[in-house]
Amino acid sequence: MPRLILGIFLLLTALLLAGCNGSRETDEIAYITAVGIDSAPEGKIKVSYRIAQPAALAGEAGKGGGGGRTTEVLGIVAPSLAIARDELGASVARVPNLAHIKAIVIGEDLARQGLGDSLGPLMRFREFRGSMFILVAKGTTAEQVLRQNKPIIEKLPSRFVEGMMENASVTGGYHMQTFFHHFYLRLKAAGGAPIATLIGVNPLTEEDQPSAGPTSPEKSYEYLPEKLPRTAGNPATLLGVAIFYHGSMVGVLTDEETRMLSILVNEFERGFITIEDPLEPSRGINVLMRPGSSPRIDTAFVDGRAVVRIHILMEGEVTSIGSGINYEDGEYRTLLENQISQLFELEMTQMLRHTQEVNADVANLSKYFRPHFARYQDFRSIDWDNLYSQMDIQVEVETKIRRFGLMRNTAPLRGKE
Amino acid sequence: MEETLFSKIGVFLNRMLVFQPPKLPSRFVLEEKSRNDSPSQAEDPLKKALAELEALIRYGRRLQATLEKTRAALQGNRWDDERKVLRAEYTALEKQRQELNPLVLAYDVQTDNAGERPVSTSLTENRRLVEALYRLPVNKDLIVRDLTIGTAPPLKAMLIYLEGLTDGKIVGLMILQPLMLLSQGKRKATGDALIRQVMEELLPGNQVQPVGNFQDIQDRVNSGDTVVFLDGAAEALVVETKGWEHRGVGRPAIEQSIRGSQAAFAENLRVNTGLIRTMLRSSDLVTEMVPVGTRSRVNCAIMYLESVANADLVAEVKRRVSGFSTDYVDDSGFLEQFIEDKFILPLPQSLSTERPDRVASHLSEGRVAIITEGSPFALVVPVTFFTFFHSAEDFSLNPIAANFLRLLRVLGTFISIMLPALYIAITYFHQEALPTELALAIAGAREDVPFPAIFEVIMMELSFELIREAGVRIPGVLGSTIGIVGAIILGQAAVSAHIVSPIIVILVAITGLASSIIPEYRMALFARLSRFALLLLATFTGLVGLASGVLTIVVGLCSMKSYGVPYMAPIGPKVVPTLDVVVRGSAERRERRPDSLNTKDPTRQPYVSREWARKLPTGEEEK
Repeated sequence: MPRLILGIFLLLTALLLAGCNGSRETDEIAYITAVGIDSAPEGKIKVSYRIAQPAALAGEAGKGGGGGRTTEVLGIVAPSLAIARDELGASVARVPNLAHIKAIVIGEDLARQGLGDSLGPLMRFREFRGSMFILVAKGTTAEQVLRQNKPIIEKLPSRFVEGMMENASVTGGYHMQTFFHHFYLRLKAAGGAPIATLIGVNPLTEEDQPSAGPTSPEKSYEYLPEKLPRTAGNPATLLGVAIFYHGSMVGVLTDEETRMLSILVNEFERGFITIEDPLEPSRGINVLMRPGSSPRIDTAFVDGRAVVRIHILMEGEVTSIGSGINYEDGEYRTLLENQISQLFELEMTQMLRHTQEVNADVANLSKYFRPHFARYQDFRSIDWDNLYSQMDIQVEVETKIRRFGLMRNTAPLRGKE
Repeated sequence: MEETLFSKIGVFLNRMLVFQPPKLPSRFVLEEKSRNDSPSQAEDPLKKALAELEALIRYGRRLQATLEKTRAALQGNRWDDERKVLRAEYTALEKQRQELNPLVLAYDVQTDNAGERPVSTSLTENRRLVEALYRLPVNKDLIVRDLTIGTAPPLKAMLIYLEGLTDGKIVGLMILQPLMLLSQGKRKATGDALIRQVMEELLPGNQVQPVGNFQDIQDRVNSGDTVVFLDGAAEALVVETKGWEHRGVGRPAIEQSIRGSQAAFAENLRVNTGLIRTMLRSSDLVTEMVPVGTRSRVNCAIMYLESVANADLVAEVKRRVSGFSTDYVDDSGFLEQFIEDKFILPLPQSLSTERPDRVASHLSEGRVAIITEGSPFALVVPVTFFTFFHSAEDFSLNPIAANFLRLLRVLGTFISIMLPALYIAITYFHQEALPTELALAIAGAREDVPFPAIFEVIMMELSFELIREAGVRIPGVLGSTIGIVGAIILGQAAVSAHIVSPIIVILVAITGLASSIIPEYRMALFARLSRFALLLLATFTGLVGLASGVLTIVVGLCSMKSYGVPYMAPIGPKVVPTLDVVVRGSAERRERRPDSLNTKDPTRQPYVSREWARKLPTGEEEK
């Protein structure tokens, strides 16, 4: 019997020593759902925390729905993120828990100054999770973005960001799912440039400020988040991505360019394009595009120059033909298919040239060169940034119209013929 | 090495902690091969020759006795009186001599299956065969009654029937009374005529039939008929005396089922053994009676299939049941505690059931049933952990449906044991494991509650246990109503009073439901107890503690044995599994009995059991 008691005692001791510690009641914790980082004078940073208010979320039993604001934004200027977290304790009675941070927003100023120093070490602390999304506040500060993010459907702003990110690939590919973990990997690995989705505060004034005109034969203009003509709703807008070179933001991709990027990295699922009618250019045709297969990317070294051949198969479903021309027929259909292929080739090439100018291999094309190297050390020894800007990239897009929606044939409008 | 304080402590700890086998008689383990079965091949021919010789000697003795009797009759001038008797005796002897013809005898003795033998003209031979078939005198269910039919000359006869399956009144009034009291007059001497005479003139039973071999006799006896053997006749008479307890026996109150038999055991031991025998009609189903208790001698029936159950197991069960002393045993649950092994985990080592159909199916797998006089619950041993998640109707349902129910039970068990502990571990230590919305919803619900979460959980669990126990004690129909109303009102009120959060109410309700899904009460009780232990572990050490707790339970389970059979068989130790462990296979795939029982006959059915499916339908010809 004493043996048994001693055994149990020792086992329990071992369990208590080796088991988890630091238990915390739910009402002792401040759940932080988003963090924003801006540059501040004297090399400091301004950290904004969005803290959830559980009581407002739960509401009274029976009354249904919560009242009041579900979250609050607090800002702190500090030399580092770690200190900011502790300084938060000066005004919040609960222990901050960073494990539920959904989005980390970087102000454009700080992003352009370079954020390798402040972001890199984050991965080391266990409460920061690789599954956070990283965003760049375009044309404003991260704090403003956090404050202005007032979703109209979701109760929680974090849910808004999460939902936007999850649906990026099916709502047109105008922004991309940028995980912090991927950002960090691109930051450290050989080849490939980090990207972060742009989030902007839209003035909601319907002022039309396109970044670029439509690439003929497409009809739509290209936009950045704060310049999209829209009214009402949540001022926070996610559109396009920021591209980084060596940890500093060097440029942005507009919504259309971002779509090309997501097609290239096979994250695009479906999205509409409005294209000029090949035979009646004043009218438009709506086509729902989706990738027919993952892009085929062949690589080679020709005379010391890297050559990339990209072949993309797109499939489309025509959802509207304004002119009433019978594009369902074989000959006309080929015409339309060629028109689309031409457009994608053009836009893709433009997007790649844009990134080549800033040495940022956003599509991570360098990874397709891996088979040419026996060891990772050899691969790593190449200066991929320079190589990328010199890269000869040939894009070939093939389009197949698979369906014509729910109509088999186009009949002309009555009275017009 | 020099002895220091530290080395002393080290030696002390070493002595205390390193496993030393307990100084007890070795624990019973069901061995792979039973000691008693399969005699070696070498002694077989000898045995058969011996049987031949013994039969001859018995014939010789009888002849000698008859001759003595004749001599006495001749000397005492009673020849006229005794002539008929002696003539009948000599006719019988003549018949027996024909049977003892070396060829026939050799054939009979060589036949392994006693059931295929014909009825002998010698009453003694028949009796020996019956005793062999029904494992007499161990088996107490078969009654052998010797009698003399009062004809002139008197005729020796013997009747056999199974207790519990026959109606005693019919046996008395329709067989014994007419044969022994109302049969005056002459009788015919020879076999066929004798049979016909007894059948037509003496036995008033409504169905009387002559049968000639022991296979038919077994079938009829096992279905409740009485068989009358007559001296000197190569046939026996079957009299219809069926009359067993059926329906009206009462429905199962605890182990209810949608399909399958609806009979339940009662308090009467003989009714209970009879119920089992009606479901399992086999001659070698043995019922042994062992009286237990010193003040009050309570009969305890041990039932098993002699041709299937491991002999060691039977011997061990008998050894245990007869090997304890107490003044009075009132229930099978009490008896069980005297005969089971001691282990740390309070888990049931036997299946306690009120359903005769369940006992019958377990007996057919080679287990042993223990029924106590006065208890409506039979104990079935040995069992494995998985038996407790089976229900009586599992095999009455389609395998897919039955497996859904079984997996539901397994899920219920996990929920019942772990859910509250998991909740506490995650909300206390691992908030990041929850989706943000859920974490915030839990936090929001708890915002108004002034108590720690563990206090909430324990309080609600305890009140649930209170409601549950009260529900059992409150008499009659009120019980369940008060239980449900109490639970709902208590939960609702506690939430409005901000004493507990609504999530806890849901949690406790689900846990309570899940623990009710476990079919065996004692297993459910274990789940309820271990829930509290795991809850405490999770409170202090999080998921690590929960995992250690579950590991401890698994280790405990693996170290247990139920009457010599590993508790976790066929998973720990790994043996050939049958398709009836967690999930069950279809009926035609139950080829083997559970390996861990080491039965005498491991085969249950041939690999192709649905022979009809390989044959052409009636009326169709092969093309």
